[in-house]
Amino acid sequence: MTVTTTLARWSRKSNRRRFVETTARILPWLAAFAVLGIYAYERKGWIAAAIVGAIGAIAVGWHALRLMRRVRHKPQTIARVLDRQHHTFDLLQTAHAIESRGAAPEDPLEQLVLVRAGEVAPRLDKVAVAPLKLRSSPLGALGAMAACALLFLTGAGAPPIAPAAPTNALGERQQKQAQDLAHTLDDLAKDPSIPSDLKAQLERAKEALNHAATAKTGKEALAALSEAQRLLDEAAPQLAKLDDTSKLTTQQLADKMASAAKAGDGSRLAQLAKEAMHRAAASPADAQQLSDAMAAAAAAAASSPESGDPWSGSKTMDPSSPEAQRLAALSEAAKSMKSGDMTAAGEQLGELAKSSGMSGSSDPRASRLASARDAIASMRAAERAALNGMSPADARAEAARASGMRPGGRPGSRPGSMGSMMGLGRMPGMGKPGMGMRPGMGRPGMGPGMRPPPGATSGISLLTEDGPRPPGGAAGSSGAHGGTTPSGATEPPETVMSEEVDPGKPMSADGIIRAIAEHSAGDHRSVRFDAVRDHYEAIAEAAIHRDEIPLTRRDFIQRYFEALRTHDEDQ
Amino acid sequence: MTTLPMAAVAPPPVLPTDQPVDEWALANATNALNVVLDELGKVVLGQQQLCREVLLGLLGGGNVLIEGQPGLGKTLLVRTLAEAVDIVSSRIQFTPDLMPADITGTQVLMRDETGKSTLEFRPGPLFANLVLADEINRATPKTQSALLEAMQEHAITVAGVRRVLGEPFCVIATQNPIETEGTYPLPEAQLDRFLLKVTVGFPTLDVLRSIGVATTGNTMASAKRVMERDALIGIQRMVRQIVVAPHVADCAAKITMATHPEQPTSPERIRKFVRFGASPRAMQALLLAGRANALVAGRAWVGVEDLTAVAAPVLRHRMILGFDATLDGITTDALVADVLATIA
Repeated sequence: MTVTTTLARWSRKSNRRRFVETTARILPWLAAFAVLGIYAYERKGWIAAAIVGAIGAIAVGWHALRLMRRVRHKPQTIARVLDRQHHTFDLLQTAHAIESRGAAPEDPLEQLVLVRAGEVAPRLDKVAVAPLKLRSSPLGALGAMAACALLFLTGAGAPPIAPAAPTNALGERQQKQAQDLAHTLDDLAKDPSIPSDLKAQLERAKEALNHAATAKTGKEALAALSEAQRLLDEAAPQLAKLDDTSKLTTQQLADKMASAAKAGDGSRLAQLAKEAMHRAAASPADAQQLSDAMAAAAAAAASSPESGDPWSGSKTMDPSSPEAQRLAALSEAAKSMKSGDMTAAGEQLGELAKSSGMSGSSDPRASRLASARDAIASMRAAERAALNGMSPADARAEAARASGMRPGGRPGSRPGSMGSMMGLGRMPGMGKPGMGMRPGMGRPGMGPGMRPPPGATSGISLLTEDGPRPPGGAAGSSGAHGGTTPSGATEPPETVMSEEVDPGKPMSADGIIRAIAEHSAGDHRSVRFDAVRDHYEAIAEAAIHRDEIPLTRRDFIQRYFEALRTHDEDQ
Repeated sequence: MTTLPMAAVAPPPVLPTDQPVDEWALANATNALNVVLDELGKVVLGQQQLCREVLLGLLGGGNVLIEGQPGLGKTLLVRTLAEAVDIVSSRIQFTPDLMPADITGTQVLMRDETGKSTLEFRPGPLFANLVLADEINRATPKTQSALLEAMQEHAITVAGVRRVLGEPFCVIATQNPIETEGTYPLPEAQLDRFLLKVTVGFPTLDVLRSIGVATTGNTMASAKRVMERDALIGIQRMVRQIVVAPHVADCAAKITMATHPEQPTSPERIRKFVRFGASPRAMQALLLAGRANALVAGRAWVGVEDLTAVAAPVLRHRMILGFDATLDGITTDALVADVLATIA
């Protein structure tokens, strides 16, 4: 028997076995697709079942074709496969090539090759090793089991599930909160003293809130809330301007003081008292005029009917009532002012404000607006946390943090917000001047090394060995150049970014690193490079004098800035 | 005509060269070669691959270029091989002032008893069976070229007279890849004359320890003569009788063709980094070294595995790489691996 004959017989047998093997291997896949087809029919109907069936037929057919393609018919190909599988170093191929020549070989080594191949080929045939391993497809079996599990676990017999109706992105509680805030803004807009442009802005904020309440996606809701926040942030300073006490006439100031004293609004009274003390200190004539007006206003207020009970018929106020006592204290302060004892007048007014209590805001409208802004900030933080995949508890914590840490927060609602009342002396609850979270103060009052709260808008501050230098002013200043406006509104980047760079001032390495780190940690804003180039060059100059910087690199850095400067000058 | 310096004792050959090779002769040759390898392994420690490849070069009747750092046993290997197979060896230390006549030999004026002066040829060190050309890249191109005729045709021409070198003839050249200052790199034409280029790797820790112990005592290991010169010649002829099937020859041709960058079927890195591919002589070398490898393995036929086993030493000095390969640190061995992956 020649090697070629052996190979041909091997081919027939192997092909028969390969057919069986192919069938065995595609059976699990057939089962899997059958189960998936049933599942698709139960869930989606005939069309889905047909699609699944077609995909399955193609996949199984392709798999079977791939398996059957391995079937070898040519003896030379079979010899190659066998040589590879059995590591016979091309013995069968060589023997087949010798036999294919037809004539019997004369070379003794060729005869030797044929003898060896004749010995090996029958052994391979008997052993029938790979690629003739009859085995099922493990992957197919796994797929079939997975399909069956899917069928049973999901209950294919159950009626098709109707598509879920789209739900709002905000939760029920947050929707209600948004609607309440919209009502609050609506009420504010109805105030006749508010100008029309501010009313329009409040209206737009209300619409944004309503839109957020009905938004279908989290991103949409967050965008609407951000828009509302922006509108209210812009409205806040305008509202604050309405409450400018410096524009009041003497009579109006006295009347408002009397009204505040009667109503027990300590914060408002303190603000008005500060203005009154400033005017009284300006000239004795003004002091006389103001004291007369205050006394008259207090008397008028005491003689008017009590608020909240217009139908009581009482013409005067009960002298023992708190309102009457506060008005009497106001009259006493007016007398002290008239006599020229400004210190006593200030102390009396301070005591009066203290006894009246701190209602939280000098202007109730500003207070309501601030509350609304806080609430929106909280909702935004919660929504942002939810979008980032935080748990509800984390989202609540984030919301609470955002509400408490909002830059330029609620005017007068934080301890120390009375720091502006310096003209009245130290009052309980006033805190140290410049230490509070007064809107717009931002970092200047926070002290060296302190960082602004997360999300706070900040300019670039250059840290020196003396501590951080406030952008745009000395530490403890009003923070006009800080990251936020007095009302807490975020100013545009062009006005916020204030660079005070003193390249000649030596800086420590730590200071440089802190400056860079602080700058990097803040909001990223687009700033023209020529505006900050000197700043960066100063930092680089200071840095390259450190020992760790190699000399060649120092030169490289210097040439970089020189090149930038030259480029700018060329332009 | 000069007489070759022969061995003192010429034992009868193990394998008669004029008889057909049968199974017994094949097995005998394989055993004899394995004994030679064992002897080499006793002296040259930890360099089995090097010994095998040098032996393949000798069996193939070609020349071998060994590249490696100094002190790795290159010279020792050549001397030991010459001792084991009982052939005459010579050693030429190549230096920049070495002249061609220094290696080929020269004619000297001799005066006989009658007072007549005649020019007599004094053979140089090339007239040996195994020539160790140590640090071949230190000689000038002129002297290097003097080796060309000897390596390719096993003959030299001096004063217009062609003189045939004795068989077997094999040049084993060494070069140091590190110290390149003051050297003359071998031209591609001469590199192509080497059947194999073998790289010597640094031994492992255990081998290094064994080398230290074995070579610093009073007794040095030496190889025994285990094969006669005529037997070696017979085995060299047997190598050329090893059967090469068409598919193996086809594979050798494909491997050679795949080293050419202009071939569309060549691997991507070949097309990118290779300037010139291997010559047809490379395919001859592949088959010859493959035959020798099959014989050492005791087979009468060459398999594709034999070609892949010798592809790297056959091709690594025949592929001319571009500058990009140097920049990217691409070696010819990596490219040969690409070629083999493509062919497989």
